[in-house]
Amino acid sequence: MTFEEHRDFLAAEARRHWGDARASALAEAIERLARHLAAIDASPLHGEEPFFFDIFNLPDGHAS
Amino acid sequence: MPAELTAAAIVEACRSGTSAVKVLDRFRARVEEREPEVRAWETLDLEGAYRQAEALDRQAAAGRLRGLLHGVPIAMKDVYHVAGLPCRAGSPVYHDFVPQSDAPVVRRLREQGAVILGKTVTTQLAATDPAVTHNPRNLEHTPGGSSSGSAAAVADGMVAAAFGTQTIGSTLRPAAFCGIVGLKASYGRVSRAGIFPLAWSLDHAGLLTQTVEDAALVLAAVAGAEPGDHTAAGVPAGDHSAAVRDPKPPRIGLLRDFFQQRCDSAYWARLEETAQRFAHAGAEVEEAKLPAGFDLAINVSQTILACEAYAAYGNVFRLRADDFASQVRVLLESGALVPANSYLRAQLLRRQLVESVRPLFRRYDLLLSASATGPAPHGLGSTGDTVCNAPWTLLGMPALSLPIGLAGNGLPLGLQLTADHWQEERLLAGARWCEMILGPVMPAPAS
Repeated sequence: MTFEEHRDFLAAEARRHWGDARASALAEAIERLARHLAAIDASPLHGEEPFFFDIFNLPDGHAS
Repeated sequence: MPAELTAAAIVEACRSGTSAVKVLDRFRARVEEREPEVRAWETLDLEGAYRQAEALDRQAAAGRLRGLLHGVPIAMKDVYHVAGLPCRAGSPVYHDFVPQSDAPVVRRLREQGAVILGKTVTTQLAATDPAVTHNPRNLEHTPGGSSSGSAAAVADGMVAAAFGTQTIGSTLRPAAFCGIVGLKASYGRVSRAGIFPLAWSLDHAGLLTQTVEDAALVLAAVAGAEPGDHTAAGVPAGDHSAAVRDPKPPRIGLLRDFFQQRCDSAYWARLEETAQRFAHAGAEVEEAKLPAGFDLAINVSQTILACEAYAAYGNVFRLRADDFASQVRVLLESGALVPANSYLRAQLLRRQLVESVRPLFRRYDLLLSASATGPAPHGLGSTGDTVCNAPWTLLGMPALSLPIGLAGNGLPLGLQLTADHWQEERLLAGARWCEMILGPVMPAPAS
């Protein structure tokens, strides 16, 4: 499913199981998430990132 | 028996012959008096606590004090595994789960002579659905969350210190709301093995204490590498307790922009006044400028949180959705929508944010900001806003909330101090200096 299809599917399921209030809360959360994702997609990445999991450059091979 | 039942005072008293059982009696009396109103405890283990205290007294009588925390009663948020005690994480899904072994943090506390008094209330899965705990400073207000019970129990004098966790703002925010010290060390400083996850790359253990000295003492007891936990780093921890003995005035960078925009104006004015007090007392204080794009920290942390929480609980959620509280459900459902490339991009941007903030620590020992957006909100309908804590949790940098006094409505206020990775000694020393300059700022807990 695309993001939009999945979003609509979840909203319909929420409405069916838990009613409009829940569906509305979920819709708001998904809207917030969509804004987070848009901000992330719009932010430039600098340089090469060959080793993503070493997030903090931790010493002694931590989190490698 | 010391008048002030801080962890450091208890250890000193026990060294001078005070019985660990007598210390425990004092805390037990306080719990019995106040718990019906505050509701900080999920499971009290009086039998186990007295067994531990009696063993400590026997060892002391034989001339052997157990360690850094001999006789200090400590509570664990109900997401930590404590052998033989239920660990429910605030969720009916885990109602019957009883771990058979201690989390490494709990094991280390016991090795250092702490007495585990029980498990404290957490919001469900350490997320944002409010729990039943009240703020002991004013029962009509939230204590914050998700480490609600741990913060309330320490603030109310029911226990000398407690452990919480922080994935976004779950230790420092409740500490600020309840008028105590909250500390989360660098990501990797304290093992998270044996702790329910919310988001693996964001989760930190958190400490709640009455004083900075106690925070240093408790951190010293639990910090360091842990066999079997690859996320606990072997970076030398230093002597945290020594760092707070004779602190010097720190170089402080005051962060306005992002934080001032999000705080209520009366609270922000108090923060500015407090920073001026530090400057007059000898600290170097000047405004520090956050790098461009710092606001992105919120987008990044919320995306990682949702995605990792769904990865942790999605399978269970699909089977038992009705057993999840409303805000957790929304979190997990939205987490299912995060595309993999967005998650990976968020982690890469996170690293860029770390690198863009780090140069500030060439000029400043500490960054000073707000530990919440204001005092604890009224009612138990919300645990408050996490926005001021989220950046430092995301960046994995050590951060501490220090009480600075009371707001106009009588509720506590705190400030947030942050240091560079692995600079806990610098953070604790600077926080201790600030604490000394401010002097006593919180009234005794309610009686």
